[in-house]
Amino acid sequence: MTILELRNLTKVFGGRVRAVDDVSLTIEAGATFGLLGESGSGKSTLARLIPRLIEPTSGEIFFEGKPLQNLRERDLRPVREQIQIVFQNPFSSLNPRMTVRELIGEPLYIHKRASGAALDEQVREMMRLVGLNPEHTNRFPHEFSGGQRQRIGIARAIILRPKLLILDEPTSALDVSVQAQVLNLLIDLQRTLHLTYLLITHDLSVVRYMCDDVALMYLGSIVEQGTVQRIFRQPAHPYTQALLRDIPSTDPDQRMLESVSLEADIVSAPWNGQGCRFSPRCPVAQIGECKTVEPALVEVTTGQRAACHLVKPHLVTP
Amino acid sequence: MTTLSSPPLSRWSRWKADHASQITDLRRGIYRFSRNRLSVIGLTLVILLLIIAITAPLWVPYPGDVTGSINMAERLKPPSAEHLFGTDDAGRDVFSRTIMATRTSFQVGVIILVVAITIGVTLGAIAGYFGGWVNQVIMRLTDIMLTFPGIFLALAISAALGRGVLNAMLALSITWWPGYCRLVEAQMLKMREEDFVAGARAIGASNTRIIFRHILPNLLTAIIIKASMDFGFAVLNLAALGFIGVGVLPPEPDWGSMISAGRRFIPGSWWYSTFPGLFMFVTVLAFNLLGDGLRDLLDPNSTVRS
Repeated sequence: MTILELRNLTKVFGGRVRAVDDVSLTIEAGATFGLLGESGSGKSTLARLIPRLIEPTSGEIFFEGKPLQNLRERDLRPVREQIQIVFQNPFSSLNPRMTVRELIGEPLYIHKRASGAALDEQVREMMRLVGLNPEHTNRFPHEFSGGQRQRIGIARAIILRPKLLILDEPTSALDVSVQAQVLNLLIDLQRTLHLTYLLITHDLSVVRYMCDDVALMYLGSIVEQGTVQRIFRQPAHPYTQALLRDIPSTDPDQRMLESVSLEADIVSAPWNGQGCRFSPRCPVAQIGECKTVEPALVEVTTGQRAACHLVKPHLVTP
Repeated sequence: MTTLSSPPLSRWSRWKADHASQITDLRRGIYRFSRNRLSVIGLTLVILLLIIAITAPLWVPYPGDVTGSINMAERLKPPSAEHLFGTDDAGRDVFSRTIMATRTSFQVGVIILVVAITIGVTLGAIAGYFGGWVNQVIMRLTDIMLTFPGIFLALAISAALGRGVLNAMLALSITWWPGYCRLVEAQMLKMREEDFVAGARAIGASNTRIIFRHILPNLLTAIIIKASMDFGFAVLNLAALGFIGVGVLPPEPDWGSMISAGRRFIPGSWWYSTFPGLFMFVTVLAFNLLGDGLRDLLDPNSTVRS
């Protein structure tokens, strides 16, 4: 069953910056969908477009088949109960003036699900569930470590029992040693609470560890999409190939494609708005089609789509 | 952690355990504040003046003189054991009147700031949070208010609506809110981009809740600092209006009007103007010192160390 579908979602800032450009994707209930991209690729903007924390410029959002883009702020509230976000930075996403009880209990209070002692009890239960000491309900965020704060953020997001949880780089602000703990917590929670995850990250190993499906974003647009298995084994798009080449493999026999490497970064090789958006950095781009025509996202094999003129089905072994 | 054998915690000690971190923060704050001698002096003076203002009617030696009894036999007597600050041109005890004027000044000061903060913070919060044309309308209005020199505007309002303490209060409140409006608007513009505000919207909080529950508590320290600085100046402005003759109506005692009336008898009867002036000076100074101390304590950007 499809839980979330985006159709041609676009967000233009200030009339010029196309932060999210014509993105379409579907997420199945119960799955973990990875959205991968480097900074500036529009991942976080996309995360905030879904529950309409930012208004999309055009395009459609369907949550469990219901269109969201024309709902009024008031009618969005019940939907936002179902779609929650865990933010990237646990130091800025928690109100410094609120205690843990207020932070975690606030969603219940706002949606009138519980109050008084019942609310306190639910807050304590939630703290136990995410691995926090329930004795610490009166503490303020600054008294916790980064990992603990992110657990507070997660507790706050799941206390309403949402169906879809958007994880906006949930571990990138954390110490490496803490990242795995938080990811494992998320895996456990998904199992017990039957959550669907949209996991936004720039970390390939996180995607491989957590996700069923993955989409790669480049300058606001999806350049390759498919199951994690397929894409990690047989990347089609030159950008994906370059990214995958950069993760050290644990298996010396399993060499990644060696032909591709990126010469510049997003800033030093800007896209002039014509042709393929990756062409200024693409090691295999050619004069002609690559510089003039924007490639469409087309199926390369079953369960894998890429937006590249040079990818022909014969290049990919099924 | 309590073990089974230990006696049940009393309510007080449980509260202490629950709020241990707040108590530590408070202790640390008190310690840091107490290191700054000037702000401790300010705080002491403010507390002293506050006690005087609250309890004055209970112990003032000549309560009748406050409401305007005239005793020509005692006219312009110098300070003595009987009349600590001497007497004025109607034979009234200057000490009693100065002390009772403290009460008036504090009452008026508090009311002016409460009204100004209520208007200013509400408008500033709306302007900063919603932005767009709402912001334009409110902030241009604020700019217009700021271009009027406060005391002249107050003078004009008092002149138009008539003399009296109520009109003076109204006038000063109107001249005072734009400062708070600008302060809150600027902070609001910054705060509404914070992640925790986006987080509050994501969990379904209403705009009212976000403004009052999430953002304003974070601006509270800035508002308190500004208010403690402003209080002295509000008192000063009230005295200025009294001095010109549009503030507190005689025979109600007021520092400004006492100084003004005593002018004619300087230097012969110096005590008439001097003592109310001294009280005014101490009040303004005390609140300034307190405000400075609070700013050093609460504002992390100010790194002044004593």
